[in-house]
Amino acid sequence: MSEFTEQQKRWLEGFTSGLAARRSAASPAAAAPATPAQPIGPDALQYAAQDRAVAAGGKLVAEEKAKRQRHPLDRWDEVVERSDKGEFPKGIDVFLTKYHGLFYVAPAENFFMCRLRIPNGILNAWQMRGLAEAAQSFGGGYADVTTRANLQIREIGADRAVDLLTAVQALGLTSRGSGADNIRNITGSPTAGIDPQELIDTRPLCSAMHHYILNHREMYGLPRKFNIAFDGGGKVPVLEDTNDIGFVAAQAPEGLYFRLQLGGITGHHDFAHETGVLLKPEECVKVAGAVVRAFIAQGDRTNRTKARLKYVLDRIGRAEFLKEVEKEYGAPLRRAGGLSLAPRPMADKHGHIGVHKQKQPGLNYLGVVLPVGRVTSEQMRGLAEISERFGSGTLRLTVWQNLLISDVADENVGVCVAAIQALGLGVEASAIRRGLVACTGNAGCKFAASNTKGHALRLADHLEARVAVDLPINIHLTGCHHSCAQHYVGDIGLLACKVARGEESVEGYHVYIGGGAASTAEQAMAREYARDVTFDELPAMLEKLLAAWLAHRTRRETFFAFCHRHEIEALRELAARAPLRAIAA
Amino acid sequence: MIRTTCPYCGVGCGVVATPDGRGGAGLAGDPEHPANRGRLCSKGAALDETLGLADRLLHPEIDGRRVSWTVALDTVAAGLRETIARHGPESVALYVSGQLLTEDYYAANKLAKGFLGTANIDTNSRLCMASSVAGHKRAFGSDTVPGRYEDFELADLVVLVGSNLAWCHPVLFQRLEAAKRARPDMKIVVIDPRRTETCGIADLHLALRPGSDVRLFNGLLASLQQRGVTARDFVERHTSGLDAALTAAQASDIAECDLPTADIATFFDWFARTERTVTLYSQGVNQSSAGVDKVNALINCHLLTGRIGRPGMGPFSITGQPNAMGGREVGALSNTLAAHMDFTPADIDRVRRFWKAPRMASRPGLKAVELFDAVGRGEIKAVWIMATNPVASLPNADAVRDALKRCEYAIVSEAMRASDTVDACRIRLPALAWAEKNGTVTNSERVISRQRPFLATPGEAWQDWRIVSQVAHRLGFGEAFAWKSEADIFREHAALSAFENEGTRDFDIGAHATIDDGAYDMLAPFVWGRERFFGDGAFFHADRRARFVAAVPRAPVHAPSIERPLRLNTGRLRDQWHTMTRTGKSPRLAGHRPEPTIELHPQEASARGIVEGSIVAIESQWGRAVLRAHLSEAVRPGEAFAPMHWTAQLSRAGRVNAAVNPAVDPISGQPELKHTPVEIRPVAVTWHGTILARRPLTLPPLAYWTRLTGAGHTAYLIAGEQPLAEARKALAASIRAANPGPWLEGVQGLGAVVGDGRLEAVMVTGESRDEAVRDRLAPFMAIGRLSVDQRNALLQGGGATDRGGEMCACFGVSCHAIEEAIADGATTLDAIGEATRAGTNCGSCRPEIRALLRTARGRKAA
Repeated sequence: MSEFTEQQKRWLEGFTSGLAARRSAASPAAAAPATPAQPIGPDALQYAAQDRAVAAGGKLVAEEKAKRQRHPLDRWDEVVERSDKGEFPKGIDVFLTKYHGLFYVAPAENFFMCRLRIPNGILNAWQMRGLAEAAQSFGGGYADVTTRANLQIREIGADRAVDLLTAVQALGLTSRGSGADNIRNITGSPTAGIDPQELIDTRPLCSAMHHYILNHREMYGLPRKFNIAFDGGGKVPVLEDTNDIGFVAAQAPEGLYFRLQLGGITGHHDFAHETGVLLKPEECVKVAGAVVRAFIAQGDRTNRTKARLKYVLDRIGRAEFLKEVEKEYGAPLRRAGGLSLAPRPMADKHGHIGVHKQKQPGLNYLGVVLPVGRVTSEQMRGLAEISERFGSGTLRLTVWQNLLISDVADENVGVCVAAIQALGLGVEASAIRRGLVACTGNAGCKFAASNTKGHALRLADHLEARVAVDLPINIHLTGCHHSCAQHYVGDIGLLACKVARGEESVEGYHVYIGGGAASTAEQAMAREYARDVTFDELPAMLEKLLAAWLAHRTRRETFFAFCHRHEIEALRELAARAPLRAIAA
Repeated sequence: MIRTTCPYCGVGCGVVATPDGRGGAGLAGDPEHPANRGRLCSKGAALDETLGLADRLLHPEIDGRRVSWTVALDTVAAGLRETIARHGPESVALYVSGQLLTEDYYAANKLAKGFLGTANIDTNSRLCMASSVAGHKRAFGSDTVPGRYEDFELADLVVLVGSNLAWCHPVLFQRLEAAKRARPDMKIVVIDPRRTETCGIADLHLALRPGSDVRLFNGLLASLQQRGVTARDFVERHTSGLDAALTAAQASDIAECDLPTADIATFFDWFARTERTVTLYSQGVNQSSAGVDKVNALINCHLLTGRIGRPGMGPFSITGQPNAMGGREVGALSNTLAAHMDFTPADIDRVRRFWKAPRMASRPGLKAVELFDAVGRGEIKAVWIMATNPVASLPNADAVRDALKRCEYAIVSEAMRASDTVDACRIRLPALAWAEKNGTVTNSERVISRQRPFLATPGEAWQDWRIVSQVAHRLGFGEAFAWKSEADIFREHAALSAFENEGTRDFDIGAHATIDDGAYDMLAPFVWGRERFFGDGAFFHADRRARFVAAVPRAPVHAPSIERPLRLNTGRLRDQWHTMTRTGKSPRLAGHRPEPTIELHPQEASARGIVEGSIVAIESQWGRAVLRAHLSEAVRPGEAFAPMHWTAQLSRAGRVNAAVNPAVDPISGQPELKHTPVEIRPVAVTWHGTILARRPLTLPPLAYWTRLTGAGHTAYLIAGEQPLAEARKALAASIRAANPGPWLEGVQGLGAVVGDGRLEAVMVTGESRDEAVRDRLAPFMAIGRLSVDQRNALLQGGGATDRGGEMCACFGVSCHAIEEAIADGATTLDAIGEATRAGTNCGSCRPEIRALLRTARGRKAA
């Protein structure tokens, strides 16, 4: 197939979508439309890519075939019909239903989970209140804050699925494309617009990106999932370097740019790499669109384990891929070459917790501690109320599975904290608990090998009573190789596994240490420290490791730096010699 | 091995601690301490379960945020300085505690009365023995407890007035019980509207109408006079005022006591005939709007008979706190100055010179209830609370909470974070807890004992005196607060007690003013003053005579009405102490009375559609509490009894003091905590439930909940008015927010989180109350990883265990186990002890075991 110019493609899309509309009006909805011989319409890009794969002798994976048969977003009627009948999807329909944001999580639970889209993680009080109601009426009465500054509502019965989706949409929110092979929630610096050190407010960019996706049908034709993040240079890390596209604000003498980074996927051991491309803020969304289109065209549709952007980059090369992007974009991209960029203002590793001054004089944002991200409907309503009474009605979710209440006047901070405490929550926690991140775990996800959230809390209970950690430290618990909790960027990363113990198999973890991310100048993949550790043995093992750090660190040396100063074997030896301490404060 | 003193009641038992090096300790009664000779009660025996750091306040906080000590102390000092500068010294106040050690108490009193310049320092002892203090001073001219504990053992008649000794001072009860066993002729009379466990060893129980004690003792005084049972010589040489007292006594109508005439006659007869008589009294006397008159009415009888200050005789007030007496000695009540001195010009001048004080308080300050009223009115703008929980313990408690929330400088120094008062205060200073503090305490028989630290200080907590002296430094009083240790303070306190004393004041421990640090460390328990006071007169009024006080009976301030016909009485339980910040941490102690209950006569219950276990609302003119009903004939019809222990930390509306009236005794200022007119109505709950969870929950709104500590878990007993399905969803969400993991549904409303094979949480709900759920489920919490069979058994509703409630806290023996032992032929306490071990350690449960034996005998006879 020959290459079209951007203009030609647009023209074709308009033309072919008209055709498609007439055809679908002419044929009954129930009849599956025949696969068009020639890819047309907004889905053409995806279909063409599939055709190329087949033409090259590849075999499309089942998901690709199902997408081709009918676009998953065009299967609303099926979703409604099953919900009316009180049925959950089966087989490939489980995958397809995720395009609407509904995840059937059996056998972990016989329920749907619904994942939303909340650009920049920011929502307002009435949306939070509405979600609380929706979670209570149609779900389990609680929601989880995710590592993409997003919310997931769980325990949704088959018959309540559509009720929930419509309730979400009535709030001006959507779950469209939040799962399967789509672009996930657009994350941005949680303190956007209020951060004393930020270089740029990421909110307009996240919003523009979000709506760009919603209004570009071809953005739903990816071979695999895709993450985009905007880092505005603020105090709270957004872990943009773990995204497929990371936009990193950078100050140059003549103005503000975003550095374009591509291909982050820490579960596959890669941070997003620097492309050398600099973008003006107003260019970012269009370029992201071009990157995605290049990915749609180039991504592997015959092997899902090698379908992410990273593998495209590995296969065709970074420079080559950028050329593809420029083609899609229709213009050359600006290169940094020789420009002197100021280093990123350092983020505060635990800046998402506690009371912090905003750039607006007299105002503060309060980082609320949520135990591994879970909030009940009752607490959601309470937080909404608090944000309205003492703030501006703004709630900001972070990738650290917690939220900020912003715009609280100095004189209201005390009452606001008291009100948060009255909900059973707080704005302070031990260094261990501040940086605790855990994926859903086997309570609600069939991939997970362990009860990550439960173990995370037990681990924190154990460690904070015994080790006086006085510097920020992040502990990430992930249930499987999908790496939803990004264990490779944790100071301590835990990847769940089953461990044989005698006859039985119990839950355990592989232990990685010394991971970190760019915004705190600690970009590194965690290194393996131990394998197949049962959870029963884990707290004491980590207690010893932390004790070894506290005993042998140089003055104010972070755990990250300590880990990097030593070989793993040396760390194991130091830990082995560290005594298990009595319970201390 | 470290010798220290128990942190609970005023008995002041010696405890030997053996730290385990891991933050805990083995604890046992000190065989050498004179108060207990190795005994401990159930609470003391469970102290080891209360040492953990859960719920502790470990760092200074302002407005819910952790701050450094520097910031916290600067803020406190600036608050006090500015408030005084702008509004005068009377605009600040301290509210301290009988749980402070003497050294802490001394520091706080000195700061307030000599340096801030206000006598607005009162103590929670105001709620406990202020009426005794005032009664003692009226009668003796000093606040002197005349006798020793051994006097109960030596007596031939012990009259217990308003004292449930068996539960509130169990070690003394055991001593009394042992004495009676040894000398069965000894008579014991209990005067109490309730038939308490103490009545188990009583020869006579007078269940008088609440508040009629003055009439009874006036009647006794008149009767003794009439029979000529008077110590003429003693009265003549050492007393004055008898005639007026007799006139008042003869005028009062004993019929108001609502007692059988024959019982009154028996009591009067025994009292008249028995030379060796001790009248032991406690909160039933003190916590009354006529508390001081009650004290004097009973002291009058001892003065008339000259039965005071000799072995086996005397009036004896038992305090409820470990160091209420130390506080009295230090003078940290708003109406005393220091070291048993008052606000006379001479005393003020004396103390000023001793302290080199720049700004002496010149008149008495506000008493507890008035003090918090003044906070509420905004007249007191800075209040510093130490080691006490007024939001739970004061009457009209919601008003106290609201007052603190409005107060700009609401400061609290506290060991525990989980306290209603800490919640209400903006500025929170972490203090040391019992096992970490160093100093002295005085018990109810004037024995000064050391409390010694045996655990390391946790977090950033400081002992109270250090906090006080740091604030004093910032206020520019560094020189007067330059102590380096507790011993420094003790020496100064001892020196003040002797300063220009010359026998004019009973309290004089000047001999210890030069004690060196080593000797202070080693200090053995010693009794201050004479072994017994007043046997030979030598009272402390200027004329050295005691005073009879004319006690004119008066009814409690608030009378029952048609709208609120019931009299609410409040008090203590066997296995809890005060507001449960310590005892509430012990699983062993949670079993005996797991919930806040209101005891109600069956007659009153049936008239209101209340059955055993109903959730009921207790409503007064002042507020409301929601408790579980317990039907009992131990309370008189027309009355109700509720424990004062539960707080908002432990039960949704179990804080009964929210409903209690704020009337006080006009002299002592002690609140009438034992008499509030109320109505009690059932709450329309439609379901009941039980939750056991490893990690504590934030519950959704419920009509009723109580939280208690289990072994390795927290248990919640709940009930609600909302539809059960709705409640279950919210509850499951709460459970899973704190205890994430796979959710399993079992039979009959059982849901559980089982993660990695371990039971993390379990909930059972149903339309009716199932008391045994906790017994059935708790064993599963003790299992590390459930086998398939165990998991299935759990989902089928748990085991078959039904313990019928806890009896013996020391060995965890249930009521049903004891009933089985009885059925198997055990007919005595000893036999039951042999069969089950129940009652063989602390002995606190022996009265109840005895009651079960009686019931069994009754059944057999029938």
